[in-house]
Amino acid sequence: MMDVYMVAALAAIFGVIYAFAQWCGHVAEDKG
Amino acid sequence: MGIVQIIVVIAILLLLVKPAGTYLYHVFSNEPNKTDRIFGGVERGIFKLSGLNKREGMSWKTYALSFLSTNIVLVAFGYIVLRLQAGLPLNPNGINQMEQTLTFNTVISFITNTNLQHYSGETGLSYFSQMAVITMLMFTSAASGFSVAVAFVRGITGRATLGNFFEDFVKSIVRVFLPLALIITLVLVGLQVPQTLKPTIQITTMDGQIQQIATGPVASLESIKHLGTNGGGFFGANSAHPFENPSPLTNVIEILSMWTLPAALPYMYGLFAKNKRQGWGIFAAMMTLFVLLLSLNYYAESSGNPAINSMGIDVSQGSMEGKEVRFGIPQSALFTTVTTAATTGSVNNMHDTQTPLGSITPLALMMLNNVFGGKGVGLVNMLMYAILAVFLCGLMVGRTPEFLGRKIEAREMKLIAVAILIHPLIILVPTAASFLTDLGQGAISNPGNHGLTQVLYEYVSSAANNGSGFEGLADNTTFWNMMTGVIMLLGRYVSIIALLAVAGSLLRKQPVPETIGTFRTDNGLFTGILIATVLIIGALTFLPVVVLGPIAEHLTLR
Repeated sequence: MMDVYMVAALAAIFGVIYAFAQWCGHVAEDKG
Repeated sequence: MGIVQIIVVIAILLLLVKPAGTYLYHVFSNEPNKTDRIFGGVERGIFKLSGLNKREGMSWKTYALSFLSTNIVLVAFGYIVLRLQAGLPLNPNGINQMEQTLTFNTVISFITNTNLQHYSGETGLSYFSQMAVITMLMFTSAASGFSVAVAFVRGITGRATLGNFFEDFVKSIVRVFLPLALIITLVLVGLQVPQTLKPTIQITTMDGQIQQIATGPVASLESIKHLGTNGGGFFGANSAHPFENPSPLTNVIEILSMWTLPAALPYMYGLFAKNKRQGWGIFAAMMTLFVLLLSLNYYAESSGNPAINSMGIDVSQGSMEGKEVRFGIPQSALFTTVTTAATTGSVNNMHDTQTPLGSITPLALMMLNNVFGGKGVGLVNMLMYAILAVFLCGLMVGRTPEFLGRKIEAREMKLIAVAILIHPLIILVPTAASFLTDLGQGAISNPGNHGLTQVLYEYVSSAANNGSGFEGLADNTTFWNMMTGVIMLLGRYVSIIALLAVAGSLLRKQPVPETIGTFRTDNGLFTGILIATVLIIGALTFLPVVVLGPIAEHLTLR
């Protein structure tokens, strides 16, 4: 069960980092 | 004699900077050159195997997400192997599977190039894990950081594109890290560093006791450990262990291994900018800060511990507590300064037992995080401060700031502000939070000012992706594994992504012609302004907590 928590924690942090990348894209006004 | 040793090593570094920087430029300029004949075939094979036949330039966001997704896949692989290592091959010592929160911490630690180790290699990892996870991540995390740095340099110097992450990643490994690691591994084996798959050696000591002597494939890990500014040791004692670092000669080789590539990157940047003075200006700023902090550490450790001095004990050798006699003060001080400047994090002496004033050096270098810095990240951070310096000068003279012919505007400064502020935020807030809980305070082995420094050091090291520690802190607990794991991830990816966005934004701008009013960034004046900006913005942020920790401790010892 603890493995599930760890994987969920990793997914959550990488999700936050992905959202941050989207925000940076908004600030930079770069549509990619 | 001690200072002569240090000067000789710095002189060797200066001789290596230009050829190494030129080589890196040839590798990453994507222009046909001699290295194609040697490595081109291997790379084409890898590209064909992985379906990368068309390697077009990427937008900054595609580059960042390619970097991020590659790292996520490697994290998943590492997590699975560490959790299953008990049943996997090459485990002659019968090492059990790694505990879950420690696995979480370890895979994050190595993918972020931190190599913070809450385990001891002798008892925590099988040979398979040491090679397939630890050594593999040492190559790939270093290549990831290198790729990002090159992309950032391409962006601010106005190349056609930021490049292709996968191509840069493969080139970093095939043309830089693998060949150098192979050479240094063979040199280290020749200098008595073990490289074997045989199990732990059991011997009978002179007084009849049974002793286990751990060994293993040490040399192959040791080479990339330093080349990739990784820092995670095969053994718990890291480069203080005689099997990792047996002599003063191997010590110098390890110092130069971790220092040469970060020191060569500014020269590479100068070649990309088609103005070598730009690169030398950045290098001069880094070296000035380096020498200042090295001098502090060397002076403090040579002077000895004030409390012991006052007892009338001979301290002519300096403060040798936690240091190896074969290295002495000079090679310990230089190693400490280089390993925290290049954010490697390997140690040949115990930082927890350095004098309070001496310990300011590793702390300050990790707080600044731009004095040579880890694989690529140090150059990127220093260039971030260079753009900030140009912006501040522009404000003072009422002129729109320009950097390398491109206007610096609000959106770039927003992203740079985030990249600069995230570092103190993820250090100071968790440090304060840890003192509010028994889980945090319970790990401190030395209460008072030194205890504050122990906690602060752990978070500074995690945020700077350094990985060294004040090892008196009992940090292999769920609380510390989780807290430092999160900090390492934020410390690695937030600033990198923000700065890739800056590079992408600058790349889209039309260059403005240089005029007589353009603020020059390739002379001594700008180098001085850059150093002042780093000290005022970077160092002053942390001054209060440094006063509460090592400075207050020093005053209590007098």
